Amino acid sequence: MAGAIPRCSVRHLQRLFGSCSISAPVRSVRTSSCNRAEEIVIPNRIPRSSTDILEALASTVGRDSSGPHYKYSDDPYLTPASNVAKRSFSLSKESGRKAARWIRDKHSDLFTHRPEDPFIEAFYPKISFTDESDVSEDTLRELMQKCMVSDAIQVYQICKTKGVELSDSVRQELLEFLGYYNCEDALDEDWVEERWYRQGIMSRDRIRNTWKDHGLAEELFKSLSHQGSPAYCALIRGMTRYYQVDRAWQMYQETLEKGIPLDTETYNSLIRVASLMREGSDLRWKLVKEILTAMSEAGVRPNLGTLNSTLESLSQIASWRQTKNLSLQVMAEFNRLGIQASLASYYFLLIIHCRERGPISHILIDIMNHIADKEFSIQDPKDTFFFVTAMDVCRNHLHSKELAKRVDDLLHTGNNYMLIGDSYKESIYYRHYFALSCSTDTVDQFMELYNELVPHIYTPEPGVMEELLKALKVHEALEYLPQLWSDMIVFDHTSREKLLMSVLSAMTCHQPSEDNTKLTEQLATIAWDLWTRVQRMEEDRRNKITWSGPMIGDLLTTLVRCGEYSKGVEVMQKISADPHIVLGSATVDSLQTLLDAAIGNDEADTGVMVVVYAVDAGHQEAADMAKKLGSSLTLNAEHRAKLTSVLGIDIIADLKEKEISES
Amino acid sequence: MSLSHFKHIPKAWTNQWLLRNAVGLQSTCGLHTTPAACKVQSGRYKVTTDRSRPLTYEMANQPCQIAHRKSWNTWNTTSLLDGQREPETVVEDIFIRKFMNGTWHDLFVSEVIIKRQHNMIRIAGIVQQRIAARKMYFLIGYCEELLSYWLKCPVKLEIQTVTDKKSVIYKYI
Repeated sequence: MAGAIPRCSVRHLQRLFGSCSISAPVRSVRTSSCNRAEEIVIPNRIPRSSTDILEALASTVGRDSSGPHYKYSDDPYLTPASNVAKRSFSLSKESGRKAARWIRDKHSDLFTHRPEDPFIEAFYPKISFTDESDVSEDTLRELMQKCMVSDAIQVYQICKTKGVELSDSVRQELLEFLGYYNCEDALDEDWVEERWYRQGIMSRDRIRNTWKDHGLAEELFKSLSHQGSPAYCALIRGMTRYYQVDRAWQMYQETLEKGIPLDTETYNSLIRVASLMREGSDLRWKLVKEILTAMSEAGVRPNLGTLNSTLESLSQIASWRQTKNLSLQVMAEFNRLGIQASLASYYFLLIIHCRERGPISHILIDIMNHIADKEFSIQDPKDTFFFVTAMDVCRNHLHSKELAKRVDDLLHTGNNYMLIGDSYKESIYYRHYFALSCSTDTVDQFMELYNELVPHIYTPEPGVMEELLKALKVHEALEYLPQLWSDMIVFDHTSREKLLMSVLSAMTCHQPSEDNTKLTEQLATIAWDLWTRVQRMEEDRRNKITWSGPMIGDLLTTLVRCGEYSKGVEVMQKISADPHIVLGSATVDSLQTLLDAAIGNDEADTGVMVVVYAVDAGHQEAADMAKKLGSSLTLNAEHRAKLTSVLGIDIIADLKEKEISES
Repeated sequence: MSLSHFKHIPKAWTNQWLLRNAVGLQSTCGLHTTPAACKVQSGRYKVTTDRSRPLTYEMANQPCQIAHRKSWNTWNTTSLLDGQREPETVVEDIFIRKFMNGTWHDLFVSEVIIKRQHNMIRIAGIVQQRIAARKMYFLIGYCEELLSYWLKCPVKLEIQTVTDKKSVIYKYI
């Protein structure tokens, strides 16, 4: 069974056992005489954390794709299948938790008992501060430690009104704190589901200046007795973080004038927003170079952040012809300095090189060769963009399934899955992977992937489902259609017109024969189910589906071909009685199929109904259809009357005359 | 001859003395007693005339069947050697049961099972599918969080749902 242990856990086990190899044979030490005692080497003690064994055990268990995510209850009723359900279940659970916290904080006098030892702070209500509270510097420090911004601001105001002395160091810390958060509370780390479902900023056009001008941070800055390097650094970094670039640049000039040194992170933040300070690609790059030279002249060492901000600035001017070369030069230079690139750097490289309108670049292959099988941890906020972008490149730029598989393997090594970011990125990642597999793999291979990922890891969106159905139609692999239909019902895609159209047109490709009777039955069931579902939708629904001519035509063809003649007749009756439910009218081929079936079943009523409908619809073949009907079946007076009234001429009389004349 | 002639019985106390000490003498204001019945009636349900009372498996098995056909509703180490916090655990259990039955109003079809493991409390039970699944998730999040705030330890809910109440009924008596 050793082969079944995944690679990553072997690494963990190796770490646990340190330098000893796992398969070391047991040797008996007493074989030799006492004079030649063997050298016993005692290895150094390996420091263990309290959860190392648990982590090693956990690494042996991967994600089980046969069941829902562990955050959902393990019960069929409580297992989500569609995307809407997944989202609403996790967010409802979280809102229950928020309700409980609200109750605890509102009725804090009821939660004062302390039965546990040691004291666990997380279970107790939050302390609210009023003007009479006894506050000091340490309270402020504690609140900053817990990242409670509004409480810290309140305590600061209380200190000011009460005249409590705040030392410069605490003011400096508070300045950095408020600069980072822009005097607003960030979303609590406890609300993991809300963070998971927050739309990640994939598009870069929503950059607005949200810095609070003349806010508390700047007030603090002025109140410092001596505005030295830490103060300027904190303020510049805060301003650039919230895109107040003009004033940040002003502050930077002030530091140059006053000769105040700045640290690496401040330079990095300035480089990152350089594109917002200049127009024109060459000017922007000139500014970046200026800042980098200033940095080197000041003797400040660059770090990974410098690499990533430089690449980020370059990605903003990616349409310039020199950018690609520059980006590679930047990578080489930082490599020489000994700075290891992180996933964010590779992300920026991909944006720069693999552009939509540009030559195909195979840089991803080089990147993958470099980073395959490595484990990453988060080093830059933009690290989470790498996997989505890489999969996007594989699908749209390179159309390479092998490369996509390599990216997927990298995602599943070690703890790299945590770098997928949030739910939006995860769904886009799988969407690209799915669509790529759909277009490049055989249907059987693709359905393997489908069965593995759907529905618990990924639920296809309607757009992806449509591509899937098209692929099935093209490859004539209709045996998967029943499974897809039942999945569509579960994922709530049955109210989308395009998808229903795709299903119906796919079903018309089916030619019933002796060996696929089961499939024929299933397709007939699907067609009928589709009809009943649409008919059952209420009249005033926002996206009520209106039948189109081709859809009804495909439906009729399928029903008749797959042996459900009576149901086809029912549909026909409905559309004859209420022609307004169909936009346009049923296609000629379908009507002819139905007519042939009616003739075969010797039902003149149906035949007449079909012909009447065809005439109303304005099909030119209606007359021929009437002739066919007349010649194959005997029509009574009523039928003849109906036909005459719609066609204007007595077809039957014509036929009879022809017979007489021929004979 | 009256009892008052006996010197050692005070006259004023005659009737009372008789009441207390005379065997077989029944006074009009005395207690009526019967021989002790030695009967257990805990956890047992009376049979109805038309056999309409539904019983779940747990209700159908009497407390003497615990550890034979039935198991406990609450699992903890308080009754073992060096087990601690026995009374507090009992009171917590009562609180948890009241809380769960009240929050999940009329939804539980089984008893609330409470298991204490390490520092966690796991609460299990069978619930009817009468409310929407996302409402159930709201209640699950709410109960887990509020109970952990009250009991000062992590609380996990393990709810199983059942379509209709009749599926947990074992027999009718």
